[in-house]
Amino acid sequence: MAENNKFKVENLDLFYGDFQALKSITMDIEANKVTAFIGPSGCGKSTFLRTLNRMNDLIDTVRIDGTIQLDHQDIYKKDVDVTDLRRRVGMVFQKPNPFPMSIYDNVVYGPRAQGIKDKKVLDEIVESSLRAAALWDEVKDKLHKSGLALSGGQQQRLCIARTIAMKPEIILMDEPTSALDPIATLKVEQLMEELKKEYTIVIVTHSMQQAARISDVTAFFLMGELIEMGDTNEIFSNPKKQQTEDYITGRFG
Amino acid sequence: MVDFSNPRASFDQDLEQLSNMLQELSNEAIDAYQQIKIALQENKKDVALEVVRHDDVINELTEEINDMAILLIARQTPVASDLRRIIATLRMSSHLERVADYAVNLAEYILLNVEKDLETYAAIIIDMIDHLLKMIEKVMESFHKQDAKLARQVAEMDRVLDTMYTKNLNDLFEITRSETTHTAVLATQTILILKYMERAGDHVTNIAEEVAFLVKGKTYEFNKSSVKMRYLNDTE
Repeated sequence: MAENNKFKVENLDLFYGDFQALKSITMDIEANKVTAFIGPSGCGKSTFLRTLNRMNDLIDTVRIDGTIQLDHQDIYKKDVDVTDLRRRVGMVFQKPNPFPMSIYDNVVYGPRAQGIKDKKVLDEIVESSLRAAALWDEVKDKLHKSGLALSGGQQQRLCIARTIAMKPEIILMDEPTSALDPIATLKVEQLMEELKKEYTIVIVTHSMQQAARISDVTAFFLMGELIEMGDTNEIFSNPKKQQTEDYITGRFG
Repeated sequence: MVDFSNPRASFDQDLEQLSNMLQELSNEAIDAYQQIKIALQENKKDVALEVVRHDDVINELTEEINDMAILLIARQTPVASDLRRIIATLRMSSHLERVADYAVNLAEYILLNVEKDLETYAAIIIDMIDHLLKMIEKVMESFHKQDAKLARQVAEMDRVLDTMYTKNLNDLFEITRSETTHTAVLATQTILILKYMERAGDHVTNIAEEVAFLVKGKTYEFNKSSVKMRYLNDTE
């Protein structure tokens, strides 16, 4: 494995009952890069994203073959602490989902659950996480107001702050801006640029332009297969596979 | 009923239109050279004058291609081969416009020398024009067929044009040294005109490179000048 790879996925199959949703996926995900997954609905990109922090464990009928290594450790081995895995591999969802509590409590929810009680430590976590999520200046005077009172774009950045508070190594984002207006979208994209310095980001997006704007590496999925993965500049200017070309130019008949 | 089989149908129509506009521009350029041939063969001042006037139409058409390309980029956010096609068309139109500009230089040459000694060099100029026109036709064919091999043939044709130029240059150079002032001036003017033909061939070769870029997604340089080649071979 190259030194800068975070994940190494080999021959990953995933079944929902009899249905095979992922077919022999093999890929490396590099550290401190934004990797984007694109592809039409039902192509398996979100399913694959969820295998990276074992969110699919929550569905009974799911069966997985193949291996996923995170820093050389197989994350599907029996002795893996899934809670710790999900701390290392945080996740941000399509719809902003702040808890029905204050901004402050949202951010420290995870650290408190880990047993941190010291008010000073918690205060520091709140400020640094909100700063990292580029939300601090907008909310520093109303930390004890409800997170639900924020705008959609702010709520999503609050969710990112909540993820960052757990000091993850990787942040998975499943269409994080699809419910946001264009300006809020650009703010989240700007934030990703900043975050990738410290974290590895993997994002599922339906916006081809978003993938082109923000990602370093793009992976194109189709019907459960990884069709093409490579440098984003290359994928969007001269893809190698005809299926990729057809999809990104919008000629998916 | 809406036909969903090609979600980009209207964009495809626009791209088609852009290609047609480029074809129209090349037709205009070819037509300008055809007029120049008539003016040369028949000593016709008014035909040459019309080529000068008609240049405005060519410039307007080039601007229309620019405007349409910019609109398509802004409105359709093209990627991959779509983007290459638009960018290539944009650059090809500017090369074609230059090729047509050289026809205007030829028209000016005719206007200067009409009713004097125009017929002296008409044949060698027309030879080069004929060759240039074949190159333009071939490069447009390669564009429509998206055929990079055909485009490369244009570069080979350009080497023939270069050879024609070099040979004529040597002949004319002799004349500028040995003959009377009047004859020497005409020969010098003709050297410039032949140089323009040679340059026009380079622009057509650049268009061929754009076709290769459009098809292959890589940048090509088909023609290195012989001097540059020799220099590079000597020093590397």
